[in-house]
Amino acid sequence: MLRPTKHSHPDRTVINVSLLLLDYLKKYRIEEYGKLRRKIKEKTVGGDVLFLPALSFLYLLGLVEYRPKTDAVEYTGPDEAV
Amino acid sequence: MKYAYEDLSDEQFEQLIVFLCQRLLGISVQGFAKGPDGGRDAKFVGTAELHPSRTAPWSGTTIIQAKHTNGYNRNFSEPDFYSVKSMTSVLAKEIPRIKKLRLNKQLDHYMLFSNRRLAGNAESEIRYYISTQCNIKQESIYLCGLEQLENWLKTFPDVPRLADLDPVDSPLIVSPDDLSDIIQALARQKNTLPNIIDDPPIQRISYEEKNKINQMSVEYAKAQRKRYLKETPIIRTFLAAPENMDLLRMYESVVEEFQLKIITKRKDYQAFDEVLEYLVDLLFHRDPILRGHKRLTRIMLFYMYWSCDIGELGDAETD
Amino acid sequence: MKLSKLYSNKPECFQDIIFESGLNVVLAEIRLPENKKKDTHNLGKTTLGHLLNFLLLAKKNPKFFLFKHLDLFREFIFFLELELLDGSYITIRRGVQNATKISFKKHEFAQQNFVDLAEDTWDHHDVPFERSLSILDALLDLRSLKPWTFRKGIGYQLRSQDDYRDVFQLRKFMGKHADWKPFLSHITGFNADQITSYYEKEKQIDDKKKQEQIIQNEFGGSLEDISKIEGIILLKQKELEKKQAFLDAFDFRSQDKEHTEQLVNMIDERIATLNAERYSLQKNQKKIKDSLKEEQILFHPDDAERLFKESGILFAGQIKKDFQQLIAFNRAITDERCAYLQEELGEIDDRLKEVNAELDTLGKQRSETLSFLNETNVFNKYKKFSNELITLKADLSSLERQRDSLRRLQELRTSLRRIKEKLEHLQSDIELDVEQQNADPTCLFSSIRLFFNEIIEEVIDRKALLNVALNREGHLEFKDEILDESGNATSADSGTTYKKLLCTAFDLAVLRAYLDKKFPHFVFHDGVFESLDDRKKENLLNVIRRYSDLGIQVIITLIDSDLPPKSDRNKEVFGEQEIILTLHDENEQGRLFKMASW
Repeated sequence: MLRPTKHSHPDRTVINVSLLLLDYLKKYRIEEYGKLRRKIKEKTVGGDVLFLPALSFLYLLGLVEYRPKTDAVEYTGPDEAV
Repeated sequence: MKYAYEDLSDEQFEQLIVFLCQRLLGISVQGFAKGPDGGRDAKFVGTAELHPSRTAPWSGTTIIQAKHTNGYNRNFSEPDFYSVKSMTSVLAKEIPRIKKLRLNKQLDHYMLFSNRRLAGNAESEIRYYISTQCNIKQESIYLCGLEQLENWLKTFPDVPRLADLDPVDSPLIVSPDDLSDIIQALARQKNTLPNIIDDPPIQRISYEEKNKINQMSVEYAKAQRKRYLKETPIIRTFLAAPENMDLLRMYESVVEEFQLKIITKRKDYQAFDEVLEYLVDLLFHRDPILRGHKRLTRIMLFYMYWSCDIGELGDAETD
Repeated sequence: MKLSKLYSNKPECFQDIIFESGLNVVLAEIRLPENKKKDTHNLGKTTLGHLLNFLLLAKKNPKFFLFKHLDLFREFIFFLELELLDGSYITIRRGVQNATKISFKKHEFAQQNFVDLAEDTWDHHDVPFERSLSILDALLDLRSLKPWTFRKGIGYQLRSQDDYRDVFQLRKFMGKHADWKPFLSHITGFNADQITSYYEKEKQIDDKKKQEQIIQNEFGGSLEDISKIEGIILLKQKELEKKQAFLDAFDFRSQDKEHTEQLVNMIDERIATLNAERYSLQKNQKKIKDSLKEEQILFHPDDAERLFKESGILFAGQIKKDFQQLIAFNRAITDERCAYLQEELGEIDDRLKEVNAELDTLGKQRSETLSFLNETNVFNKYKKFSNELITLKADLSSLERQRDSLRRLQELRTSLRRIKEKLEHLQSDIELDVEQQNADPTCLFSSIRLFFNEIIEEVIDRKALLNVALNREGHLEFKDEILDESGNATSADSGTTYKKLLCTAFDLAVLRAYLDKKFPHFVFHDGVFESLDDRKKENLLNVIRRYSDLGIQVIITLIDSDLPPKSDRNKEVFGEQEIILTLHDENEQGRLFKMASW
């Protein structure tokens, strides 16, 4: 899941998609789930598959929260440079 | 070689031989059918058009047999095909049937086609053997190996087209659906295969030994590379796709299993190509899906070898 | 959500205001005799409401007092602390100078002062306006308002003086009914989706009628001609295809072998790409179908578990959540994605059709290309055909133009018919819904109705009726009426006399009906006691106190001359606790902003 194997493409890993998400969310602070997913889908082939695991991973690290009222993901991490 | 005969199914190969014999003997060659004793022959009754020559053609009943092998680079004189001592070689099993046909006056001439190489001395030896065993005149026996077959197909360019043969270098469209099927099929087979060599090693083998293990003959390695290397990126991309994570796990378990079965204490003289060929043969026999995608299965195995998932653990070198 | 504290970076000009969770009174005392007769005093009690609205992210309006007098307020930064539904707090920071950049901080305890809080200590600092709205909307979590944001209904919590003219239609709703009626029907417990789509459909009908007119004008002709034209086109097309195929083949055969090979390679590459696309489409399709079938979740708990374990190994010490929380997170995120899945499935199906069609064509092309045979002596035919082709093409394109406009007309009319049908269905659905809500004594609307009547009856001893019905256009009409003793609607007079009271009653009734739901729990009423006689003031105050006790935060403003009479000679009407701000006219210190009036 997280560790790339010999056969994986570096762009198509949970870690990479997590980084993309993090970049985006730090900049925009909050974004609708659907829109976020579309962004990732555009940026990486197979991004839609990795989207949920990547989001889960960021959640585990305490960097994002989900807001049901607006169906949006909010950045909740610190603001120093990653 | 223009065509990859080993990748044909037995039926396709038979079909090809029927089309060829329709040219050599005549249009009314009857296709391969199961005889009462379970063997599969094709038959021609009448006077041949071209064979062995226009001026002195065969006439009477010609029985045609096609023996297809999945093996690459095999030949007529390998013990599994022809051996005077063995009772279980392909030819040894055919001899009694031919004898019987001959006795019942159902055979005047005999043709045997196979996608194996046939060297000159082997040809005369085997012909003599059949002739004496079955009481058929030597000139009424015709053996056709790989080289001769290639020549015939050049002479009759429409025959391969009729039989739907794809040239070796014809572009192969590797579709992810097929790859997915193949990996799943391999995974189904992985636990049922016997150890390909013998028991797993008890001691860790030395590096030197490990490198010896992977003796792949130069010629074989080259042929494999020429044919399959260009297809490997597709497999790599396929395995890297996140949506195929489950298939990648499957693939990994397959190679692990193969690795266990291949890399064991191998006899020094056993070249890696033989091992691979043996594995291919086994897989084709066991699984209809793999049988239906021979070329792709080979590509898959080559990919395993190439990316060092099976075989030695250094980097595969290109030359 | 309730108000907790309002303060600024200049406490010497604007004192901190601490809100209580029940009744809050802003009292303006007119101490100078010469001012007693005046109608307006400009002390700032009304301005307070505007300021709250500003901090609750009202759009920047140059007419707004802070921007109109930028020279006075340039340096001000305001802070509003809100209590959220879960008992935690959020502080909103909005300055006058950079009014479209807002900061947020969540915290656990009330009565903070974040004037000197460092930039990087804010959860979100200087966020652009639209994003700020999203952030605040997400954190307030007022799910009862879904799909609208908290801003939509804020006018019912913070009515300005102009908003007391109509109980239902706030001043900002002066535009089209389609902009506010669905929302109002939603909070009064009707099916707002139907009403929204009713307005949408009406608009579609208008648009289509306009288009129809345009086509009619640019191309006369009747729909009867269409089949004739279609017939001719079909014949000509067949002929064209035949000739075209021949010519293509001819062209092709005049190419050299190299070209053919290139073509095959190109086709093969395309096929491979499409195969790959088809594969992942099918995979996604299967996944979506599975999750739709099971009404289940899109995530696999065992995948989540694997991720959890790996993260634990690779990021030891950085994991902030436990496995249960991860599962809950996944569930929350993937719940109720059906609609969006359906949409995706539709897209996938469409794309698959396209891909399959293209693959078929390519397959044919491939086999043709591979097996092309030589023909001879076609050159004369070629010349003849290519000349004929030119004429054919010209004919066809003019015919097709005719046909296309006719078809468009046909489609328009068909879709007009369809939309009208749908509109009728919708209308019956809405009628049914209105009937049901009206008839059901336990529904939200009935509760609001009862509370509304209760309040009016208690204050002025007359019954009052909230009424929702469909008018002839199929639109919902909201009405409020005061009834006379015999239960008939009175003349409009009393309606206007008591308009402010009716507005107050409606706002309170709605808040009460939503007490246990995810809805705002505060209301700001400016000058509620104006023009009521003493008896009625007393009654209204009783109602307000009772509603505060229920858990609604009521903020009222009044001038001391509007005070209800004391019930006990030795006791003030309002307790110390209840008066959160006293304004007076003696000097600048008595104003909301302690400066000269502007």
